Amino acid sequence: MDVEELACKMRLRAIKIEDEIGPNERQQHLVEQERLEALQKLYFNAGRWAGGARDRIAKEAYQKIALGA
Amino acid sequence: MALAENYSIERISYQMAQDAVIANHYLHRKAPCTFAFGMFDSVGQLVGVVIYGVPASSTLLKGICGPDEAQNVYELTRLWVDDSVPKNGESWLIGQTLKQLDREIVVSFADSSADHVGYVYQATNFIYTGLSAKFKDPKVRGMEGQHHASYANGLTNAEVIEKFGDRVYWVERPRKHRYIYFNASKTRKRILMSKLRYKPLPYPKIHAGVLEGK
Repeated sequence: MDVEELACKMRLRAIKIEDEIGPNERQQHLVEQERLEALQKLYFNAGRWAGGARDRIAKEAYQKIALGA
Repeated sequence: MALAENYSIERISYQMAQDAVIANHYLHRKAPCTFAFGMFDSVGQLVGVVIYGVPASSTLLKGICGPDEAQNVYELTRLWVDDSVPKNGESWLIGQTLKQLDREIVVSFADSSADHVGYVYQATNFIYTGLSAKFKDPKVRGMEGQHHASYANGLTNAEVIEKFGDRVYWVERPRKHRYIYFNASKTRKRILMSKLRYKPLPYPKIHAGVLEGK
């Protein structure tokens, strides 16, 4: 599919969604998205430690998860 | 630590990896594979696969950090994690396996035609370098199952036509979001970053269905 066509499809979908959801729900969606992204980042770095990487970021992520994040 | 306790990650055979992606990945197609890792649940069932291979395109190999680094590139060609695994399983799987690769540059693509923007790569610190170029690939009737690079590698379009005659037709390639990861020490990362031929860009996001920059 062409990217212009994809963008157009997404804009139309956005207009439809805008009509259906309020600002609070949008905000909640963004907060949830950011929370998931942060969690993925944490598990990526912890996974690096488990896989043998030995840098500070990986170590801290692994410790954080081990402590129950 | 549920993921570490309930799931193990091991290197798996080429055949096991290909069978799993053909059955479960949305493309249902084989992929270049040099290293493959599987994620297994507590009863030993395969619930995720990540495949790394040498990209079929020599242009891509040379295009990331120049010809000097062409032999230093893998592509993350397939990633599949079963829905039963927590969402962060994908990043856990990638994170654990990168260190076991023997090359420093990892490139991966998120398929815009399937509405993918590559959130997993964004969350795993890959560098976003924009969409792949608009391109038409030559296809040859009777060889539809093969990647064009396997029968047209190194040939110009005119040479492909000369070789395969009227069996050749053209298909527009879906554009994909390109992500790059430097799987290296801090010093090497800096060197590779200075060689990077693509401009790092802000991550694309879909907000309420709209594709936009961060």
